[in-house]
Amino acid sequence: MMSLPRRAPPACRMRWIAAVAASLMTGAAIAQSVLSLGVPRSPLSLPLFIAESEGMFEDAGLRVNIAECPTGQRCMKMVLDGSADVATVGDTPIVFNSFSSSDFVVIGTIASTPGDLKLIVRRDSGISSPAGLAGHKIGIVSGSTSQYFLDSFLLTHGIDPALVTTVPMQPDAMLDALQSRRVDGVSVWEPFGYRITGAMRSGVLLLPTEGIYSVTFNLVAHRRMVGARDADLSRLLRAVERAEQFIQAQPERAKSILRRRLGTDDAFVQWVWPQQLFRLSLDQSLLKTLESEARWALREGHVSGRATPNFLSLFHRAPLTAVNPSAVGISR
Amino acid sequence: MRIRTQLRLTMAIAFGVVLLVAGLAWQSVNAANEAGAEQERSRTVARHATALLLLTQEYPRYFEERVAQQWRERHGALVVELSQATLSGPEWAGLGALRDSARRLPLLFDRLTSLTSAPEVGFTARRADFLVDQMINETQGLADGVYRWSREAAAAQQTATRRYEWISVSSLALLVVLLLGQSVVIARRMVGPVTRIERAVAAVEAGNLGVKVGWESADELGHLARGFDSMTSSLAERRDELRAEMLRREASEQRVTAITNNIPALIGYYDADQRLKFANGPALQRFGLDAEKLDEYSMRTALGEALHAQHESFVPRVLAGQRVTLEAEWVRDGHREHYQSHLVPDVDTDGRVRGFYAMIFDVTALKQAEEARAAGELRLRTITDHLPALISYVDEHHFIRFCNGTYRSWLGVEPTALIDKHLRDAVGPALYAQRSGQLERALGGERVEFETMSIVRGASRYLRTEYIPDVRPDGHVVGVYALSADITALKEAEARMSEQARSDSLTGLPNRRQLNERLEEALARSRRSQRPLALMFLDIDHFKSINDTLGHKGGDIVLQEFARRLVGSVRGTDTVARLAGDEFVVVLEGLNIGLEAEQVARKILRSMTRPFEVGGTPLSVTTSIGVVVSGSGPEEAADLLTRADEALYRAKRSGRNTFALSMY
Repeated sequence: MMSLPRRAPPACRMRWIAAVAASLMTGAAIAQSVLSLGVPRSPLSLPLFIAESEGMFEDAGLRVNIAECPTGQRCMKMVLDGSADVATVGDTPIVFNSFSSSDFVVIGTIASTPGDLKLIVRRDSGISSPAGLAGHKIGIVSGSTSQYFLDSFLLTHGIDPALVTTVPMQPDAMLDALQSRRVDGVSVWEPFGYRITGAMRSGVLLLPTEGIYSVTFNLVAHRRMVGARDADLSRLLRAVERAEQFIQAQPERAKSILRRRLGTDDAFVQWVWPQQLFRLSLDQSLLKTLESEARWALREGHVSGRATPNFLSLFHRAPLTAVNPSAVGISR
Repeated sequence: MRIRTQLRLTMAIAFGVVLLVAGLAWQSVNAANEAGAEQERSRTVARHATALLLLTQEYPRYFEERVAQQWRERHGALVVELSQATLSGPEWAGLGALRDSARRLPLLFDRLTSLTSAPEVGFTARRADFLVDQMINETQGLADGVYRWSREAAAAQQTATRRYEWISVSSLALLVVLLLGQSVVIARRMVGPVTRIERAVAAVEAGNLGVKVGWESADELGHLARGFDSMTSSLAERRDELRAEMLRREASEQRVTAITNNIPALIGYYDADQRLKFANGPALQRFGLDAEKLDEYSMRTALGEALHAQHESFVPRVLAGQRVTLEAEWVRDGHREHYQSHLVPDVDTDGRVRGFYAMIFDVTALKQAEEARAAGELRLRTITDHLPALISYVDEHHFIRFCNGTYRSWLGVEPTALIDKHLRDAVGPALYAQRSGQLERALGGERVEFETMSIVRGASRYLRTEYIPDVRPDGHVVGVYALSADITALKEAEARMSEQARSDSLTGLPNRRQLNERLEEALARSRRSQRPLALMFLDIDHFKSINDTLGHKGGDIVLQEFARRLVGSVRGTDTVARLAGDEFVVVLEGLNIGLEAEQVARKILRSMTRPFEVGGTPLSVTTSIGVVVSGSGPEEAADLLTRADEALYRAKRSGRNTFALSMY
């Protein structure tokens, strides 16, 4: 059963009709394509949730199996160990994995937001400003945006990250760590930030982090799919693009899907919604971001490599170029 | 659908399509223009972003204030450009993120510039590296966003332009198709019927009114075709009617001509200038006219001088609108001919006299017949006036219509004074009542005869009158001729003859003369024998009415039968005599006693009880008897008769059908 966004703009509808016509002509081949996806339970995964719930994958000729994973690092691992064809990950896991593997490719950025990462400190820890962080224990998710975000925050505010003790942990363990005073603060993404502030209320303090870091959510595929399954990747990207158009055209329905999918409340959705940007792209800025993060990881000693990897070789542009050439801002 | 409606609809649709196309085209042009402007703006921002990126990369090399200054100017220009709202329509979706990004940059840049005053330690260098990376990342992200904006604006412009082209071409094609389609439909709807109507018109022009268009569509041409068919049908019907009317008129004219040629009248028609325009066959023949040159005749030349002179004075009256009848004479071939002329004006609807008809009848024969009749009548009148009889004619309503001259000579009455008078007024009510019975019988068809006596100029005159009914062939009696002959002389001679005779010619009984002789002899014998004698005086009751009812013949029959029964009732020696009319006398001789006379009287009465037969009809007849018996004094015949007459008078008074005795 096909379902259309009710107020889809004419151009979108024309493209959709063309897609359907194409799918009718090559329907038999399309119907058998199956993709497994590793997707973190993040608001930034919304395009994939929508594509799934609105049947856009099927419309594009794909059968998609979504496997949820707690962090981007885990999702990345699913791709690398072959348990998922494609995963949704933040930029930092890409950087960390690029030092050890080149078995994956980035095929597109699906979302970005400057407000996904939060730095939450216990009110009784005495931390009232960025400078107060020195000498405290902060919980982070190693190898993830959580780690990069904390360093970015510290470096931006002129605090040597070496003065802060980081405690690696999984995001769902952070609330307990804060409450049990094992850490004085946590660097975490949504929806964990919202849950922690919701649970601890006035017990915690949210440090102002505006302009520190814009996280991107990217689709990463295993390198073995390059060439062989470009068409499926294009179908995936086409479904994502339709989902993003859906978000723009019907934000209320999109919010409702997000609420249902994350099992959260309306206040959370309203909280995260304004800063999120869902725009399928593959831009030079991602390359720059990855490179700068790689340099940070080297500089700060988080990795043991010597040189920054050549991220350009990790970019696979063909699938997105087939879907929307203007979305591809990187040249090669 | 009506063609007019279709045309209007077509125009409305075409107008609507033009409006729609214009609207769409305007919108497309607008969109293209806006997309162009947007693209231009995005390019400007892109130039700023690129410059900003270069300056960001340049600045960390020497941290020159010059570069920082340039960066800030560039950034300011970029912010200004980004802050300008899109003119109309939805803003590009990524613009908000670009503005956010642009807003974040100065914060980072300020932190970077602040490092120039930081102690030159390892951390400062690490931090500088980090901030530069952040700056580059942010700026690159901004630039990427702007590039994308620019690409999408270009795509939007292309799309809008293509859309405009597509709308222009397709709307033109749509209009052409629409107009072509409508033209084809209208042509198909119009050309067929118009061709048929043209053919029908040509056929009608050629005189064929039976042609039909036969187009039954519900549109105007169908209406026109039906109207045309209806019109040709009406014309054809009218033409047939006119033909029939012409035939009728020709037939009528032929009939009129035949009539005018065959009626015994000389008919001509003259116009107001008295020029002859028409003359019927008899007229042509009688006046010797040339039928081919009627116009050349005037009334004078047509009728001839003599006849025209007799008409001339009436012509002005006829031309004034009056109808004139005149008598004229013409001597032709030595014979006088009589004519009756009727001049009848021919008046048009405006009352103007266009001419007149002259209808001249030859009445010569009529005149001659009338003259002959008048002469005959004069002769008859002369004869009847000198006949010794009163001759008159009374119509069925009892009016006197004719009396001859004898009335004057006999009765001193001028016949003209009686004519057209009612009989009652002419003869007086008494005599009228007396005659009315006979008159009605005569009017019933019976010939009635009767005799009357009248005193005329002091002398008795006997008239024998006959009423002869004037019966028409259908049996209707329209009047009665009355002829009264004077039979006085005859009556007188008859009376004289009767006086000289001894017996009554009707009954054969002794008459008055013989009775006188026998009575004298009987009286003598009575005196000698001393035996009484009886004398009876009888008459028939109401004999006059019998006479009136049955006529004289009936009366005579009654008298004869009465005499026979009288004779049969007495002895053979007795004398039965008839004196006059219905008066009888019986003389009984040799009576023993006077009572015997009474017995005879009763016997006589009894003998009359059996009805009389008159013409097969039974008639009851009675008698009254006066009886006188002699022997009681000096007896004279006259005395006895007087006394018997007196007794008869008594018997009559006592109710008739009885007898009375004269007693001394």
